[in-house]
Amino acid sequence: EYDPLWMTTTETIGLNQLYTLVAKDKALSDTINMLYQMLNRGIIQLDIFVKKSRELGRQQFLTRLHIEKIAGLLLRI
Amino acid sequence: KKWQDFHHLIQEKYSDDALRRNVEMYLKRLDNECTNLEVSMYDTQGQDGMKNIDMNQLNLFVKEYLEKRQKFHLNQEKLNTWNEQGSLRL
Amino acid sequence: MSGIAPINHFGTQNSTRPFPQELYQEVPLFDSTTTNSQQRETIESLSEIYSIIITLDHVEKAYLRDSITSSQYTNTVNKLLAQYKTYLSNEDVSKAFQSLNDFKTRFNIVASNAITRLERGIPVTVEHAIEEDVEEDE
Repeated sequence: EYDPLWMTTTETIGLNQLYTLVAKDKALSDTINMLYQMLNRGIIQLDIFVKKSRELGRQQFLTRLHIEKIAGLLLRI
Repeated sequence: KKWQDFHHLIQEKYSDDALRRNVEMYLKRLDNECTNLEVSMYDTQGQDGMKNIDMNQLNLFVKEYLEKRQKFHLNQEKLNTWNEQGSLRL
Repeated sequence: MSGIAPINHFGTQNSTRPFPQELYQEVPLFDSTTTNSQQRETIESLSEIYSIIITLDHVEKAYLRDSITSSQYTNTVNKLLAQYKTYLSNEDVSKAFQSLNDFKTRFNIVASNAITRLERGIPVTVEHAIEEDVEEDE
């Protein structure tokens, strides 16, 4: 798939990683929100919502912890 | 010499703008794809005519949606940084 | 490879500022030299707590807008509250968690419905049932 900014990069690998993680964090919020909309519309049952939201929530926590770690390294500059 | 500099500047600016427009179009397309994905999910019906979808269908949907949203946000972030920094530099 | 757009976090151009060595390679979330299996387990428990908060917030909202029934709501919230307490009953987890407020601030959690529920410790349906009982007794 065509991605016009595929060639862009940051000064270090760690900073690239930070961009990816921040995007993932936001994407996870969007997706949980999407699941919530599906619950409200009766497309998924509550137990399925809980299961999936817990799974995505765990991923989001680890993503935020990872962001915190890299941001901590940046503060040392 | 001066004209060459100027010409170079114009060209650089033009390609910058063109790329920027490409990115904006790409973002719009990704966002549309996400909306379409949502709509397709709302229209999905289970075998018994119920609206409920099962875990397998949901897992596939979530995976695709998550990937697209991540691509969208990554490009959005890049575009924001780029806008803040002014033009692209070679 | 240097790309055509050096996306610069701080907006300086062609900076020569020194980055910490760690940033020139992938930064691992878990580092085997500094994270032992027990710390890892604590982090996993914290991730469960985080996901309970996020999920609970939506369950609260879904109940308030009538998307789920009272009994569905009560069962699910009782379960989530019990799980939350269980994870926090571990001493290491509770220490790393600090307080609900600290955890909320550190991980940038916006979930006011869940925070209220965790502070009260019982589903809103039960809360109301108790209030009604008190009124009937009077």
